[in-house]
Amino acid sequence: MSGHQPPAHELPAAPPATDVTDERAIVTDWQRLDRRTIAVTAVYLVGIAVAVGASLHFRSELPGWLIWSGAAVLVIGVVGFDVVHWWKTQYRITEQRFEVHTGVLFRNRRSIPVDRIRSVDSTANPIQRAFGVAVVKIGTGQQTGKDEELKLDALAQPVAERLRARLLTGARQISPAVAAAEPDDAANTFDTDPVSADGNDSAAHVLSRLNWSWIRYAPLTLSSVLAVGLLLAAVYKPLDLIGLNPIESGLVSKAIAEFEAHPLWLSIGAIVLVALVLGVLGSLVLFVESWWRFELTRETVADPNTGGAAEAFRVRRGLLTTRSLTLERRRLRGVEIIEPFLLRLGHGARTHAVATGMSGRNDALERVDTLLPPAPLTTAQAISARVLDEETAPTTALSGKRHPLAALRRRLVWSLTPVLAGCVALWVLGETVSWFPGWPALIALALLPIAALFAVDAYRNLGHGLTERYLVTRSGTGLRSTVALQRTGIIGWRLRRSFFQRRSGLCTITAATAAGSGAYQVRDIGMRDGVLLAERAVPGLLAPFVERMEQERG
Amino acid sequence: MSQATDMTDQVTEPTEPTGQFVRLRAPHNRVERRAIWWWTTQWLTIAVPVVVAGWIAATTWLDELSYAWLLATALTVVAIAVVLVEPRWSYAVSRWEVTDEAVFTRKGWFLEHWQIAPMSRIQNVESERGPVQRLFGLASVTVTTASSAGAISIDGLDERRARELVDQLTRTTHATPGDAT
Repeated sequence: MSGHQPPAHELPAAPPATDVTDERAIVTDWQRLDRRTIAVTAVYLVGIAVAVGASLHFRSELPGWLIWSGAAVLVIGVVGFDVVHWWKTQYRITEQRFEVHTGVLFRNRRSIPVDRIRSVDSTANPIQRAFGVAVVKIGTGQQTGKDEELKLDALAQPVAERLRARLLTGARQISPAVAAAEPDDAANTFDTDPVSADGNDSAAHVLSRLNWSWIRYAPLTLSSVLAVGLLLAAVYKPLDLIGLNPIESGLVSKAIAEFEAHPLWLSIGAIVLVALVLGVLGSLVLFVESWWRFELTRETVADPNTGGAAEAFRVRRGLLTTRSLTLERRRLRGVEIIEPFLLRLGHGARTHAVATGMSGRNDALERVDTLLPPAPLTTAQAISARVLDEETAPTTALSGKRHPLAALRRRLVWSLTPVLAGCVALWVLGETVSWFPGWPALIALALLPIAALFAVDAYRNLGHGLTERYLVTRSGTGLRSTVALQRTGIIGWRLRRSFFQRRSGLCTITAATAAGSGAYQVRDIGMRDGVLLAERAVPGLLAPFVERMEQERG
Repeated sequence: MSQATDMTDQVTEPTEPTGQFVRLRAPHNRVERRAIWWWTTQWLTIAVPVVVAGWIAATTWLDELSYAWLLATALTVVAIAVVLVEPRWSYAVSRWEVTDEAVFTRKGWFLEHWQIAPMSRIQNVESERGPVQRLFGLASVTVTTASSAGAISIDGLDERRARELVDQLTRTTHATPGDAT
């Protein structure tokens, strides 16, 4: 990979302070993306062209030569554009900054300070893996800007791996001589060497590996059921494109004819059963795809200058698409344990990191900050404790103190009012509209106790706590979430109370943070407890604004 | 990891005398009184079209719906109530205070919001004057932290006061060390 460019020509967009780049400060020269990226693009395009071409070939009147030459022109054109794009995309590391220049028609010059880089993660889909390349995303701890993430699509896997190690240890620690002398050794891919890929000065130990018995939790997560739906939709599209529409084909119409011959309840039962079986099977398949060779490691990278150590967590997983997330320890502000209702019934939980620089980086179906597959709650707690370096997981340190009963009243009102309103509406319909049956109102009435139970569960799940280093808060019933947030990571407080909360002596306090979702709430806590909790969690911040009185006034 | 052993990890439990009442006090400064007129203007721009549309609809459907005028009257009453009540209620709630250590605000009406951000975590300070605000000589000051969950804004300040406040905040945040995250 060559591609030396004179700095004077390339740097006008950089901020003035770092604009002056003398030769010594350059750690690596301008590098290009891996050439095989073009091959990956070509494979995609040929795939699409063949599918569309075949569809047109069989279903339209167009002459074959026209279709296929059109497809060829399209493929050559786009691949040609990709070659130019590849040629025009370069990156380099200087002592202070990581710089990427890209864009064919509109040049885009990005430069971020190396010491602000907080995460480097790489993913590779099956085609990219076949060509030995990976997409690298580099994130900074800032959440305010949209342009805070750089993406290199794609690098050779060993190059990606070295870049990761270099950026996270801080480029300034690596002298140009060392960087230049480093051998291009292709054995260092993270596929072949899962523990340590960047030589002698790093150590890793495994915090967790996949336990296949955890697959029992796969069908209990709603997101996996949703994923199956999306997957089916995704399969349907291409099938439709090449003329194999399953809905239009005879199979489905035969099935519909079958159903019409049987009573309604039997048909509905059969559909539910089929959906359930498909959902379970699909969720198992997705679990295997997502969590194959899952490994959570903690790496210690020695810092040659200070003699200290930089620590990072690393999550590696995936069967077809491999994912690797590196999360610097100093970015970690806590953990979040999420228990969707079904998973909670099975004593399982999901575990997420609360870390800075993660916002806006979640895919539709899976969060980037996931630390563990769905696993037993005890495992989730134990791993959280190890990740946070605590004896016991702070997420279990909820104070024994219940939130005021007014919080239960609020929850009962929220859950019962809509059900009651539905009951009344259905009953009125049943009375006034002649053809409308009376039984829906009864079913709605039967939902009342269930709604009440959920309200009680939601109330019982409300909780908060404070440990030496963490603020803990828990709420939710359909999706119970327990967050342990580092007290030093709290960058502000909000206290909110509605007119009704005020009358019941309740408030909702929110800890603002730079990490995770940006704010974590302690819902419907008593005013006194809430203020005391916030005051203690961050010493000194709230104290000047708190007043203590012997009696309530106003 | 049973629940019982975890409880021993508990470090802090309120030790205040239990009879004592603890709450946040109101920030010291009120916003400008003429902010009431700014907020009234804002509400009028919403309320007037809604009420007019309501009456047009009522007169159109008067033949089919005999109680349409009743609905339109109710809408008008609610709109007038909101226009009269919200700005005054909001003015009563809105308070702000800036110390060397923190920014402390209270705002809202039906929903009250208190917000506190320490100086060391403030990333950005800006002021804003919309066209209606300018009409009343008012400005807003917004303070941003690294949290993605919303900035703190003080609305209804006198223009000159807002400028001074921005200067003061900028000076203080520069003088206060901290990496904001």
